[in-house]
Amino acid sequence: MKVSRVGVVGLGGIGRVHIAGLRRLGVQVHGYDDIPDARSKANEELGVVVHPDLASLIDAVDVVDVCTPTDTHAAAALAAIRAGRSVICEKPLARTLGEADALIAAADEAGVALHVAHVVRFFPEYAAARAAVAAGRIGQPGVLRLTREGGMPNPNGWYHDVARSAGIIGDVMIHDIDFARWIAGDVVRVYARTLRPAGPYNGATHAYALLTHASGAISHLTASWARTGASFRTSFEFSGSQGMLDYATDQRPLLRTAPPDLAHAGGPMLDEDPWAAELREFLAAIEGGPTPRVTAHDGRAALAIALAALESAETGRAVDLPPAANPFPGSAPSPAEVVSV
Amino acid sequence: MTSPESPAAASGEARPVKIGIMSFAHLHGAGYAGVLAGRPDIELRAADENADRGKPIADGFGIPFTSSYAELLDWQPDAVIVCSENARHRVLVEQAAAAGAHVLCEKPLATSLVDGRAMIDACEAAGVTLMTAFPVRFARPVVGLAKLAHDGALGRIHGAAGTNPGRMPGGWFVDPDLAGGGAVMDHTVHVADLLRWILGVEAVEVYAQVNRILYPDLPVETAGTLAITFADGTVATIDCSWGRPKSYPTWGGVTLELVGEQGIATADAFGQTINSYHDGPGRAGGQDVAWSPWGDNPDASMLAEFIAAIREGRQPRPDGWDGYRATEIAFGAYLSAESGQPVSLPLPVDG
Repeated sequence: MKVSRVGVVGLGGIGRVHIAGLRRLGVQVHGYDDIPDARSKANEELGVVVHPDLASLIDAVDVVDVCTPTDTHAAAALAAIRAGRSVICEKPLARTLGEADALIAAADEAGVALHVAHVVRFFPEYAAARAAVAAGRIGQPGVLRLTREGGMPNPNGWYHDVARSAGIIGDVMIHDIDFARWIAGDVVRVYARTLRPAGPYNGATHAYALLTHASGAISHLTASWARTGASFRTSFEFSGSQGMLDYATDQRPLLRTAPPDLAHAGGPMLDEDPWAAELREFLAAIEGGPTPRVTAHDGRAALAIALAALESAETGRAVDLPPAANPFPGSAPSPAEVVSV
Repeated sequence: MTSPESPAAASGEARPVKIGIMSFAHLHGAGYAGVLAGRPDIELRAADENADRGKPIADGFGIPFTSSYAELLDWQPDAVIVCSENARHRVLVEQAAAAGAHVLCEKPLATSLVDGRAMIDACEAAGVTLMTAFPVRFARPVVGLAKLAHDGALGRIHGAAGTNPGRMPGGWFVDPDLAGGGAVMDHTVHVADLLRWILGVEAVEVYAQVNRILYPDLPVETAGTLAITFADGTVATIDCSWGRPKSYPTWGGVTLELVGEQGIATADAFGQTINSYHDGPGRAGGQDVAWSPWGDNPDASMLAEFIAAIREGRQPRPDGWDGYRATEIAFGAYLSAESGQPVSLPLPVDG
């Protein structure tokens, strides 16, 4: 099936990023948002075909791209799936595991694709690290450390409402939860602490999580909205039985300027941004191409870990996760293979 | 990568572009083959008079190989990429031009101004284009730096400091007859080209100091620093030294700082890397540290410009004169290092 029209539901921050990516892929972009003001702005500023209601959007497109707040993913995605449309869903796949399972089952039943936009897998520096792990460069992963920290987003935003977003763990840390799982495989136990160094708001603004993978590997994750007055940054460090990889977005400035803001005028540092890369891979899969590097089942697994972390932060207890139906061992060659690399 | 425009644009028929690689003496030849091999829009073949060197590389990429350059040119390629030893660029470029093939020539363009001029003239006489392989122009951070300068975001530029540090490459690179010199010949021209391109003016004077301290047994200079004055008064320096020891995590790099009236900007051309450390099984091996690249491949972007120019029937940039002027700065540096005083540019062609 050739995808020529994609409908973006939710015309906020990430919706706009997806719209820009879809534009670059040459598909016609339609849009809908519950908020009338967002609809009229989208019409004026983004030039997308704006629809007055969700049903009209679904009717007009081949693929629906859900970029709404987390707690409304399931309703929008289900409506699209039931209308026979393939769906791309922003991360997290849903707010609850029940919703996630319902989405996966509905997509299977309808015979349509369901993709979840865990974009970190498409950042070339993260993809390069995963490729190095898959090539055996670090051997068997043992200790992982991933950090994702920035300033406070809109203090009145829905993502501060844990009931809607699953909080900083569900909104921010889930990126690294998915990536840690891609590197080191399924997670069997989670311990997490949430803190409020910045605020006060109705949710945590800083979180740590310790994941125990089925392999025995340990991941230490940090997510923060408390890096006030400084730019957003991420970093990773993966240590294994044979070596280590590390990286930080601010380790080697590509274009360092005085005044600092001048660097933005230098333009993008990649031919294709990671969001466009992810959408290209999803659309290719919908058109009959290869399975993308991240699946709805991966999205469901990341959500399960994030919700377990949330539960741990609330109870103060480590939370065990049930064994995965289809175990995923991670990206490294098996220990037997590693010895011979 | 964007897909190329329809090729022989005139006919509108999208046939593959036939490209021949002439010699794998310079390792970049294998890099270019890696970008071009197996693409449906390219037909790729290779020749190397040293079959022991060239055939395994060609076989590795699955491309037809011959040890005869004449045989490669009998295939009537649309274009060739010359990756021989520096001193042998001229003869191969002249052969290719005579056969009607457009030319991409590895840097430095030539080991003398006479040779460089002859190559430019030969291509012009044959009606083929000559491009000099300066991939650093296509590295994203450098593209961003050039944009800041060209958009006027830095204001008038007064100063620039560039580096192209590297590992001592060994082999023919340290043979003055084949390479035309040492570190100055090898590593001046990338930054010199960036400066001419970004500033948009020619160099009028160069001062240089060189030495052989890093590798005293080699017959060429292994370290050097240049100071260049441009026609608009901008002063720029270049460090071209093979200063990176083998244990450094990467082969080298290119940085360039521009100092303007409204701002200062520094590009790290090959800064898109992750750090990779490998001890091997049991963590028992020796130290192995590498910076693994993850950004867009500048070689691929440069080759895209070369191929697009062939298809569109236009001159690719950077061209032969860009290659010539960059080497002129290096030749001036040698003269200055010898005399201990600045040298005026341009140099006489037969100088």
